[in-house]
Amino acid sequence: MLELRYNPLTDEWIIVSAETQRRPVQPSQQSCPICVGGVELPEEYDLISFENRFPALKRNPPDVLSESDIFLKKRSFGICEVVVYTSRHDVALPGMPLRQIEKLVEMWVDRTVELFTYDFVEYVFIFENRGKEVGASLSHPHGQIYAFPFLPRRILAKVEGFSKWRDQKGSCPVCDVVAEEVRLKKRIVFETDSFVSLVPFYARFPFEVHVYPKRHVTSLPELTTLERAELAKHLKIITLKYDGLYGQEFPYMMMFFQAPMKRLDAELFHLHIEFNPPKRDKDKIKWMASVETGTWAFINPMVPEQAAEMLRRVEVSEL
Amino acid sequence: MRVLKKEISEFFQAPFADDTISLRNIHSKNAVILKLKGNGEQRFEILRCERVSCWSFAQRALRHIFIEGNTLAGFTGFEEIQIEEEAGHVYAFGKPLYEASVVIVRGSGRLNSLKSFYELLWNCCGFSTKMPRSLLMGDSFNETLDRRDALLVLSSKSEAKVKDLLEKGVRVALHVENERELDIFYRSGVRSFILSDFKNEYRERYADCFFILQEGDVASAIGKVDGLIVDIKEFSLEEIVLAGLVNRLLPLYVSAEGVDSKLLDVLGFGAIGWRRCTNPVFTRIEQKRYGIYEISYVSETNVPGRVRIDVSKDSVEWFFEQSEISLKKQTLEREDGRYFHFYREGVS
Repeated sequence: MLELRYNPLTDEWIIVSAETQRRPVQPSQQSCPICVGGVELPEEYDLISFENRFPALKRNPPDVLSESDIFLKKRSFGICEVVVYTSRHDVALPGMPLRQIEKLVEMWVDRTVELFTYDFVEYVFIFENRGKEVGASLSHPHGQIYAFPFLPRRILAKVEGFSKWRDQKGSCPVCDVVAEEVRLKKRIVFETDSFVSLVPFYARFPFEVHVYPKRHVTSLPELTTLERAELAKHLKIITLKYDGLYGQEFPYMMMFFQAPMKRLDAELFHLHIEFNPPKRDKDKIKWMASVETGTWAFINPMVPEQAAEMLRRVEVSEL
Repeated sequence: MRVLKKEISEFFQAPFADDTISLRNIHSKNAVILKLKGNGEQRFEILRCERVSCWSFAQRALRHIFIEGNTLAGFTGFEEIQIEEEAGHVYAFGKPLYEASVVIVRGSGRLNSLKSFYELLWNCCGFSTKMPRSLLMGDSFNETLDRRDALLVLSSKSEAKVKDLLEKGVRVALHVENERELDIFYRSGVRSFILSDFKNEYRERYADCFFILQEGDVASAIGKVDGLIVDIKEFSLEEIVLAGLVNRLLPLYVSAEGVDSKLLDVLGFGAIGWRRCTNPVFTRIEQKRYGIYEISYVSETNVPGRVRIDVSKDSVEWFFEQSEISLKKQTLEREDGRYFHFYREGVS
């Protein structure tokens, strides 16, 4: 079964996809489906993005009929891609050569541009789940892209937030936050000419890091060549710092928030990347429990300034 | 900006009445709609704004729109509109027809205001509210067609040629004079038509078709058809900029030849007979200073760039950036229909 169902209580669409249940879970390197010679990728490759065998959304979804005026359904138009960062099974983002991450950024740019050309696509969401703590089903370095046929609720909340800020202050909230954080310095983890990585004042997770371009750009394709290279550097530095924090492979959710480019208010949006790591200590998890899941209200057990200080202190030299 | 010789804020403060014209005003969230009933004889000042800080678009197809700061004022249903400049101000004069409207929108950003303006035109001023339906959406999506292929407009209506192209999977569009002709080619498998006269009932009768209107204005086409042909030669650079914004609401196709195709690509125009540039790549339009507009975009090969249009000098300046990393992409389709996009370093 593959369909969208409408929830009138929250005004949102739920993706029902029985196919995702069939995804393999943490296979060994010998049976890794995305290694060269694996079931998905028999041929040699460097980087690749391909449509998921077990997708939540499809280019040609089956027909559906709403059950009634109350129980509404829609076809699950969309595209779910698996993005394989490298043919090497045994490295992750922090261990990849910077050049490879730069190529990855270029590939994300191309995927963003191409996926937005589909008429049914309203939003392109790039993300990576690293570690079994956040449900990664394969250990081979990879991320995913969901090209949604609707604007997910949290994206809509961000769009509304940008619009409200513009109405009240006449400016962009990220531009304002970046200017203030650069002045204060206390929550900054890493800074270059065009980007700043910081633990946000409003962090929801203990070691949450946001990567903000200093210039007001709405999406990855708008970044200049230099900015794309700098973004690659930030991704490497932040993930290296995560791994160095407790000397272990640090699980995280990495999410790219780009403008919903087909909307007229897309220009208000400011591109940013969020790292949401679930760990609150070496062996402790900050769970998305009832309060967080049920109300979207987060209780952060870590003071953001302290988290920033801890991450700043992790020295990284490998570039 | 002043409308009907009053400051904009006055319309938002209290219901407005005027002795000289019959007027009804409707408050929306951030907008006021003034509906005027004229006898066609009175000519008066509709709008006044400062030339230096105002975007104005006075091409008929786009309606009369003036944007100053966070305020947009657009009007429709006036006769003999005259735009005059004096002492640093722009004045618009005209006679209201039976149902003329002035729509004032206060909002955040030109794009939002523009969208609200068109929505209000649809919802409150008698324009159709039905959104265009795409050939490529929903049940009508034909899996065998590549949605990014060019829309080929045939000048010849030879049935053999049409059939041949359709068999090759080419998206064919035909000019049709009347419904009889439309029906004949619909039965042959053509699903894109260019019409001079569109009727709403075509939507039900030919539900999976893509309709492009040969002539007409944007405001009335936007709710009805899937695309509109505009003659680029009629547009000034300012109007092209606005058309670029409007194009996010309705694909515009260009009928003139010999225009700067780069400019059209940047603005996301569909171009009949050429590869249609669907445009997530056009990213932003900014007015850098009076008369100078800067458009950011990404080329089809993903190289970011900018074009600066200087209206006062009628010049166009291009800024390209070459990416240091060049990736070569190869797309394969597996037997199960999934696409695999391989990337490696190299020039594509």
